[in-house]
Amino acid sequence: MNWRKINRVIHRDLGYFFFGMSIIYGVSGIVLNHRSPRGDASTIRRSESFTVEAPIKKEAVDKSYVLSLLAGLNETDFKQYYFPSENEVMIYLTGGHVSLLLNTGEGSIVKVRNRPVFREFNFLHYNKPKQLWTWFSDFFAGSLVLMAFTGLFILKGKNGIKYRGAILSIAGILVPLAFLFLYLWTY
Amino acid sequence: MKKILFLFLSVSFLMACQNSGKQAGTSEQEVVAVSVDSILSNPAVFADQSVVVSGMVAHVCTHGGQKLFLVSSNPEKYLRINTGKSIPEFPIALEGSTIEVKGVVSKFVEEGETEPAMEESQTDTTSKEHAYHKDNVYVIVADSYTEKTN
Repeated sequence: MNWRKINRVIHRDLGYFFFGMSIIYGVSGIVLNHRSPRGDASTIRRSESFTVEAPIKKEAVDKSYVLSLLAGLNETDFKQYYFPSENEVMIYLTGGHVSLLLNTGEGSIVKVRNRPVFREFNFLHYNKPKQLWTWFSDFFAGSLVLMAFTGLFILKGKNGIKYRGAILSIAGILVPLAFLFLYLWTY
Repeated sequence: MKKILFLFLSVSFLMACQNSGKQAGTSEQEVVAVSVDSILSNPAVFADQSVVVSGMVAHVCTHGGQKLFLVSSNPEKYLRINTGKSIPEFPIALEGSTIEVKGVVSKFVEEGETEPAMEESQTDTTSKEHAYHKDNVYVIVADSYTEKTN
């Protein structure tokens, strides 16, 4: 068996084996690129504003007040509440919270839940399982490097690394270098 | 061909396993029960100690659930809890719950940062997020936690 065939087999089999991992890391990579201060696409966050009669005295905020406030928001129960400041009460619901400014009566109700699939993908991408998953994902990362090199030598001729392959490979290296030049080295 | 693939797979796994022996040995330490306020008032006293602390969760980080913040009697101060090796993440559903955390009080050093809150303020830009991260010089790296009934 010549080296080119070995190269092709390694590239092919690793490609098959890591198909699922490539999808997981690709999709969650996009999600991580678009993180915002309020979270990322692995969570669904819905926020609605409301206003109640104000000002509200801090001493007047008790369990019965909280329950009546929540009733107006179509919520029936809460976990706990506390005052992050003298002018604000935070009420925790199951899967969300209500924040209310006591001087203006302006508030918001925020409901947060996990987005299926994205959550699972991100769970793995963030290496939350730790331990064994670290080994497997290191193996995947190492294999990606190997697949990149073996991929260069799959084809012979003008579509191979001697012409078309070389042009595209160099172009693909120049793009991140250009970003580094613009945003890191000369910034 | 099969031999080559087998050899490659074996070498890769062996390389990956090299860093598996770096486990912190804290299991023999005495565990001290403390309050959130007492840690926040003088965290250096508890540095590197195993502690058990209870409190209400004000916020769970939405960027992966790797940290949460417990309420103290001072509304401007929160006790930061980080996940340890045995905790994959803190679920968002913990917000508003009272939990008991067992972990080690550790000086918070973010790689490449001299000011602990700096990195956080760049990624979490809301004022509330800023309040959570304020003065987090010491954090508890949690080994385990249990949710108490509210």
